[in-house]
Amino acid sequence: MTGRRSAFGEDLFGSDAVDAVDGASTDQSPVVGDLVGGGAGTVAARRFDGRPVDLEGVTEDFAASLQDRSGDEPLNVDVPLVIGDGDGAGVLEPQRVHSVDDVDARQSRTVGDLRSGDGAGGEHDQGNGTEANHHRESIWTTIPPWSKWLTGALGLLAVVALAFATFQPVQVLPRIRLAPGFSFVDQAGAGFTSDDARGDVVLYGFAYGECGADCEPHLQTMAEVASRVEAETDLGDVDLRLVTVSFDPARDATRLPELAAAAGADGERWRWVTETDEESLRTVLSSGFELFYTEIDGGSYRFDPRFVLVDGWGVIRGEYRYSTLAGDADKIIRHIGILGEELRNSKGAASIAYEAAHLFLCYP
Amino acid sequence: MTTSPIVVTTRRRWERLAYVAVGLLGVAVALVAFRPHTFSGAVIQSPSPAPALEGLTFHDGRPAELWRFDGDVTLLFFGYTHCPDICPTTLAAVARAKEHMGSDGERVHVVMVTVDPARDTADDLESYVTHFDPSFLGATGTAQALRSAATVYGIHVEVGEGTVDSGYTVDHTASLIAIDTDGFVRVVYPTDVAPDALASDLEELLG
Repeated sequence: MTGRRSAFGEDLFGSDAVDAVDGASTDQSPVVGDLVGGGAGTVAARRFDGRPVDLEGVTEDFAASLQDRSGDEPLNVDVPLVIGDGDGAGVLEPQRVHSVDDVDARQSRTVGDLRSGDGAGGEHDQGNGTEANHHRESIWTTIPPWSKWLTGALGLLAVVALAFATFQPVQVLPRIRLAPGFSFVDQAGAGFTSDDARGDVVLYGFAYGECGADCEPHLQTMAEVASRVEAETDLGDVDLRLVTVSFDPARDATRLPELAAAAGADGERWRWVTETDEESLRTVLSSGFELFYTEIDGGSYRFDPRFVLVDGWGVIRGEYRYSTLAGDADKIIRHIGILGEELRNSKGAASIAYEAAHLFLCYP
Repeated sequence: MTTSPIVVTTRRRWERLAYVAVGLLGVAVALVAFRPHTFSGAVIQSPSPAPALEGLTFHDGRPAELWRFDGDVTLLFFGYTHCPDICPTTLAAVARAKEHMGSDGERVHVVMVTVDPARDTADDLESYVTHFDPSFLGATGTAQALRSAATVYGIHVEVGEGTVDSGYTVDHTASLIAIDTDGFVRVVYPTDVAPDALASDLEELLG
């Protein structure tokens, strides 16, 4: 075991001026964690792993490279110093001590960074320590350590929020607007109102009996969704209804059963409906579902073919214009699945994650 | 040369743990402080402003222009003065929610749009809605204008059998619709929303 005499003389620090040298991280120095100047006679050292380290001295070369924060160099060190291992097993060479950073200004008014190296300046050049840098570092080093941790924690939170918005671990469908209130009559002559649909997920589509090829995509998509949705989605206790609304009540009101049968609508999951009051129907479809349709020559209609997905609250969650999109059935079924997951899982604490997903627009 | 004793030690382990604890506490506080408010109704993120009540007037004769309430919150309800149950229950709950809010309640405007224009005159509406709170407003208009307003707000209306003399009921969707300070429909409440929960939501909407 080598001697325990301190070799950091007053010329370098002054024991009163140096109370502590904090913040040396292990990647900055494999040896020194904190240097703490204490009362007379107390000389002790520990590694980060708890083993002791004695500070005996520093070699002359090392001492010559020490600088103070203002860039004055070298500090006047009279006595060559060597850093020794506490158990005497070996001498810790100054080259291994690359730096001791973050001296708290309250703890030392004298020393900023201590850097060892190969001569003046070493690998960490301190020679450009301007007054501005000095001032900035002083401000930084006066920030309490706990606030740095808090800043780090908030930064981590921001990263998590960004990752949530980017990677979308929870997806939701947008809550677009209220679906309209209506009172239709279905293929069986029974009433079907917007209140009847509450609590169920409903996919609305729009067609008319004499539509022909223009409505083929609608009929095919409805049939495909009806046949696949059971196997590919899980809505829990919520039912899915498919509703085709005829906007040609004058001709279709009396032949809804025929139209429904031809389309394969069973009247349970998939039904055809209309309203005989054309003015009310137009208000529902145009103002409520935002469907464009207008009668043209020969009893035909020009219309904007679309589907509208509505949740059990009567809120529109998806709108699909199949004239511009391919694979509507796949997309609609996938969206019904997402809606089902939200309905099943958005309860209790998990509802916060779903609200966050709406907040961060985690839409498919 | 004068020598001074120097102690070299690692940062004490408990001190680091304390910093970690402070950091975790900060995260927890941030999570609580910034967590999304959970509304008691269905939240809507409509990209379009709330539909106008075209052709309707308040019971005092002013046009029912909801945009005049921008900066405040508006609660819209569709009902009628002969309503036996759900309308008075809902309006009473809204009145209690406003009371819970104290002075902030003055920034909540409550409008009941009639679904029974055949019987609900402006005077009837005034005496009915102000019975619950003097600030409440009734709105009426032509049957067509009222039907359009109900439709776009998702309200289904069905007039029952009977006449004005014999009496009848009107089945209607009894949702309570909150329009935020920017004039967008934000929340749709079920009929049984609790007054304190509603008050909390309204405070959130007021910001």
